Amino acid sequence: MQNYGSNVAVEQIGDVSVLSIQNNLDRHTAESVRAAYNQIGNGKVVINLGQVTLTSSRGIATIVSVMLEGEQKQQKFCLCEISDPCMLIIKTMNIMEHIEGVEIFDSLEEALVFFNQS
Amino acid sequence: METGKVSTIVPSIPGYEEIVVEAVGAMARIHEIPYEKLNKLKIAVNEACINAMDHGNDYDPTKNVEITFEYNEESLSVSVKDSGLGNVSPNFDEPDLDEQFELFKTMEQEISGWGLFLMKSLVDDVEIVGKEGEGTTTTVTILHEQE
Repeated sequence: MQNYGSNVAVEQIGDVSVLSIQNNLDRHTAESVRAAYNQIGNGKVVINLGQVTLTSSRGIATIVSVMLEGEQKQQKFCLCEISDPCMLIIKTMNIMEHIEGVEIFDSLEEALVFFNQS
Repeated sequence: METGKVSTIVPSIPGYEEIVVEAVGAMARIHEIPYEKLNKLKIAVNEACINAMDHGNDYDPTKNVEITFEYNEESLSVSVKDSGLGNVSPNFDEPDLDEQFELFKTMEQEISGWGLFLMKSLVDDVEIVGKEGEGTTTTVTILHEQE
């Protein structure tokens, strides 16, 4: 497990990188997300938003920008355990309608199973 | 239900918006605001605080953000006032995400400008008033559910 700041960590599980975010997904945390993502090689990425207790449009926009960047690098993304504050912004902005190929799962285990089968 | 007002001040330092959001949670518990409505109010107030600290006060830690909670039998309002120039022209239009995402992919243009639309979508009312030289006040309001 590699930590980036106090709110972001990356764990390698097989060929899947799991990027976990906790507490406030604010501008500082967004910078840590960006730093963590830059260290992840090409491949499969799960972003776990289960422990995010507060976020903003800017925080979610950072997650979106990472996924758009990954799309261009042929990376595959899943979101899992999306906490209520994150889901509220994602749904209100209708974000998933505008991004192709990103799956959402209730649990990390389900996301890992999906990647292992794909 | 009684009527009243509570005020506080926070500096324009990233992270201090969390104190305001915690206070929103406490106010909502006192006034028995339902969980879903509370979450929406928290996000809206968070956006308002970040706007005030960033666009209003340029994250200058010597500039304060004034928060006022007002409650009565119909509603709970949270006002967020910055110390900026007060020359605002708010745009609550829905951002064109397809266009933003394309510009990000082709020109690395930052994805932004969701805050006002988000606020407007989440609460019952948003009012933004700027007074030249006195700052901008954003007020978000939720109405109590009628039984």
